[in-house]
Amino acid sequence: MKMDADVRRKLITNGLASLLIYVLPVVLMFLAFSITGQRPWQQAAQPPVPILRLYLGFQHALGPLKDYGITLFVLALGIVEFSLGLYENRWTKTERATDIACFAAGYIVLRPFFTYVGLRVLPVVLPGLKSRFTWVPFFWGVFIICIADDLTQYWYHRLHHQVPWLWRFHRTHHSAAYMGMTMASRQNLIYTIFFSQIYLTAALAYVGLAGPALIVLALKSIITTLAHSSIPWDKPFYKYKVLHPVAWVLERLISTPATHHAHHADTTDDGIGYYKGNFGNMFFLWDVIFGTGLISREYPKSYGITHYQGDQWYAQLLWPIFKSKVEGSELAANGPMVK
Amino acid sequence: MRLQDFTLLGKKILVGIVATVVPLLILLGSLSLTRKVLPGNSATKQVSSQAK
Repeated sequence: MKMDADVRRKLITNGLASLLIYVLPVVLMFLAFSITGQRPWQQAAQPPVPILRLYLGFQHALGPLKDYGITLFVLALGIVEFSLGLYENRWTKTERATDIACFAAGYIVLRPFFTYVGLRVLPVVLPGLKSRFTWVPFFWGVFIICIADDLTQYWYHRLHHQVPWLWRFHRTHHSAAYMGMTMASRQNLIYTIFFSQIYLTAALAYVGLAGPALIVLALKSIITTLAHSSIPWDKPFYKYKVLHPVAWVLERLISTPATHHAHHADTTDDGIGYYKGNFGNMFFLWDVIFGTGLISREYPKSYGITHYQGDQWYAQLLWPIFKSKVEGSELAANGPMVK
Repeated sequence: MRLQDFTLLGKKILVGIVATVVPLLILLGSLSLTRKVLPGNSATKQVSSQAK
């Protein structure tokens, strides 16, 4: 299956524009230093800023669970979703197994894997660069990582939708007929292992931006989990007129349940669902800039993939290592690239 | 897994590497340049004192 010529053209032009966006926070920092005369590399090491102290204090308070703050948040959200009956009867045996396998693999397999990569591989790949840029002020570090991490994830995600041969690595994330906190971690393991933004942010933490990286990752985990959640927390912003200006900014800046649920819809025919766009993860701004977004302030009636027939959990977790036994499935041994 | 699956994985890894390396080089390059180019930094002072 070949890529549409118009899609290819937009990928190239938007990709080139992204190179400028990556450098933008550093350019702004450069201008700020030029105007203020600030030269942070000539100063002694900066003490942690209050927000970082607060975050580290919160981590410390969790005691032996200190590395699992985000996991606990996701689990608590899941309990609320189940208590409210938001999954209805769509959480079948296959879907349960797929969700749990993806969630567990992410935390049992991938966490040690990424830690190993960080500790062992980075000093070899980037020798002499350890802590080279600790002089970058915290605010600018957060700005740089926000853009670097999330723009890279936007591209990684968009490519898996628009490049036909990449789609099957991302299909697992879209196969469920419901939305919920488990959706954020429901991914094919190979898609997750080669997440570009994880390595980029790990490298930036290694060169001296570890504090900002921690804050951005916490913020991003909260925003993306809430965008996938079946709790429509953004609804009041659309309902009350006085909140409309806030809604206008919010829905263009970050991913909300309305915009991200639209990305998981099984159709685009109703003017609400938009699986062909709304690729933003933490920020929706990338979709606004590149024209891949649709804002309707409504929630789709149904989710998933129309031709999905419940592929086995192991095929969804580890395709192409394990194949689906569902005949004609995109994950089957002789299945089509895109159905 | 068949040969075409390995080819597919190889292509996918390559896409991942490009998506990581390109922004990383841009950021590391621009951060280094910021420190080097701005007047009043230690490198500039060293050069000017040697010139005297």
